[in-house]
Amino acid sequence: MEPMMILACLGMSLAGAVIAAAASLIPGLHIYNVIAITMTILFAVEHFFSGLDPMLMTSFLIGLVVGFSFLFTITSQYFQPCDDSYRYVMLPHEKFLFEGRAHEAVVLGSIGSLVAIFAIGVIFPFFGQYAAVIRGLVRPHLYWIIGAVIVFLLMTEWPKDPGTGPTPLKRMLDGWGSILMGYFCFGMAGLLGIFIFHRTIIPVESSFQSLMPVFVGLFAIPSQLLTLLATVGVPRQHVAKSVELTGEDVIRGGASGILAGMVSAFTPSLTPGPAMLLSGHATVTGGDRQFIIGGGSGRVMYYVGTLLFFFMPGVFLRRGGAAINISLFFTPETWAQFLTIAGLIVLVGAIAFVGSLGYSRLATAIVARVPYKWLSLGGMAIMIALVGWVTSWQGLVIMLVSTCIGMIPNLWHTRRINLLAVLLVPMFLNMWGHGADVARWLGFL
Amino acid sequence: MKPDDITQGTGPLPASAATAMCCPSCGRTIEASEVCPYCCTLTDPTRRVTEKSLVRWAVLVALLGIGLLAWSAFVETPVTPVANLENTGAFLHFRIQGKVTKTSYFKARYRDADVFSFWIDDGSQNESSGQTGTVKVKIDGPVYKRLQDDGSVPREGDSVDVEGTLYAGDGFRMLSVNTPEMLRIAPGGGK
Repeated sequence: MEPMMILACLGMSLAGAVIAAAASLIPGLHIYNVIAITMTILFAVEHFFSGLDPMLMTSFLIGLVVGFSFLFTITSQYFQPCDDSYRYVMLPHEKFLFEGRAHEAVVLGSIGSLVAIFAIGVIFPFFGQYAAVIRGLVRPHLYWIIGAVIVFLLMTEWPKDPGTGPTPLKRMLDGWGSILMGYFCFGMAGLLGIFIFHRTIIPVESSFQSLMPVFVGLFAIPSQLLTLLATVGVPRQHVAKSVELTGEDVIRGGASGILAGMVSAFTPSLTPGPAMLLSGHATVTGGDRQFIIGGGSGRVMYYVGTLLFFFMPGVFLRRGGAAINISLFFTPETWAQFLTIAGLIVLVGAIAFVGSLGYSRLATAIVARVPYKWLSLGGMAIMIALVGWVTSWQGLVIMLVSTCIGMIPNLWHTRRINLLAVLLVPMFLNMWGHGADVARWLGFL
Repeated sequence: MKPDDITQGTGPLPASAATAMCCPSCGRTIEASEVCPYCCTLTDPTRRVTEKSLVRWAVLVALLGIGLLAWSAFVETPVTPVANLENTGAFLHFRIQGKVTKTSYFKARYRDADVFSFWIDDGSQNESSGQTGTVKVKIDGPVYKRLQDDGSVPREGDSVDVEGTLYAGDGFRMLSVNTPEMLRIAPGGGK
């Protein structure tokens, strides 16, 4: 590839990363929402971009994804504190926030992300061709692999009640209450998924974003709503100049995240959350630091590593919203293009890592001055407006239904991971070959 | 001492405290200790990694990225003999070289995407598969228009170097050129 073209691509990637940094200030906003806006603008001014090399726009989106995967959880960590009156489990980064160590949590997560970026830069260009072999091996077995993941999720649900009821019957009902609500939540999300996959009401011109209102409704809006209801205060945060860290933390945490990212790359509908749950068990990670490092590593490996498979000659694995959107205007072909994209990912990733240290300081300053409820309110208003703009009123209706389902885990102390049935159930049924039969039986076809 | 000071660890230390220090993780004032009594992290600097050293790691990773970008500037697709383009390579990217033996132009009726095709012969022969050294190359829509603007549309007899995606099945082989840069004509050729 021409050196000037490579430099132009680098410039576009950095521009994408800057846009990602600005968009990441909105807590709860997802990378695919930003890509949806970008694509909508791109289609509206298609004539302007038609003369440009598609590699430039691709590089912009790559920068957007890399920047976002490093930064978009930082504001959520600072601006969405965990109120234990409606949450049973406090995650490590939420605990760090209450100890005044949110910056340390951000640094640990970014270390995991940097490990993933390094792995992408070293492994993919030299061993990436084996991905086609793995894909070929896994492809015929995907339906039962997804089925096994579903069974694992349901089996690992546990009673959240402390067992203090006055009678055995009351204790049993209290114990089963959260478990059954978890299964109910799984079933409702699965039903919604079957509907969305077979008879969505999203207008056809917005169909490339048919999952956007679902995910905003299931995850983002409930988080914002509960942040508005929260009564806890965010303590003064300390910007640590160093972090407690061992080589074992980096290796175990990083490896669990990389494994999770790879599993989710080859298994449709398996997002980093359940993949991290699986890989955490498989690699026996332990402790807060390994959890946070694994989260950062898995997030980058899923969003960025999976995207790089799309550019790999002989593999062209199109997985995730970013790859689907890029495929609308660009067909990757050559090793030169692949290496350029890989180089951009690694270089922009390293810059984003350094940027995340400053970004965390910015978030520290913001959370000390602006009430987090105002930030959540603003973020929620922006997301609702985006859903309405991109997917029309039909999207808002779907978002409303999804929000009702998304509130269940918070109100009944079940796990939010059950909500991912919205993808797992329809994908399992479709790959098994009975998706249409079930949809017909439910009256969706 | 107010209760909040106790929780936050910001109040004055008891008189029994020998030395005071600031926990490097949570920032609370604590008695000198290997472990912070509030956040349970190790305070010994030798057990901690500084931000400066993390930035140095990031610089090393950035150098890896620059190396990959430099590599991409030099990597070229290897030339494949036309006779070796087989069905198993469908949808993969190939580069071929040869002489243009015939050209064809098709004006699209219902969309603004004219199609220009030409045939390349590199003289190769694959005896095991029976494939010859001739293949059709297709250029359509905006790519053809840009080649026209640059005066780079190949003519019969031109020596060309083409890269594109192979479409192959039983009885047909075709290479599709997706960007103008993938077609290079030897000096003196083109119109």
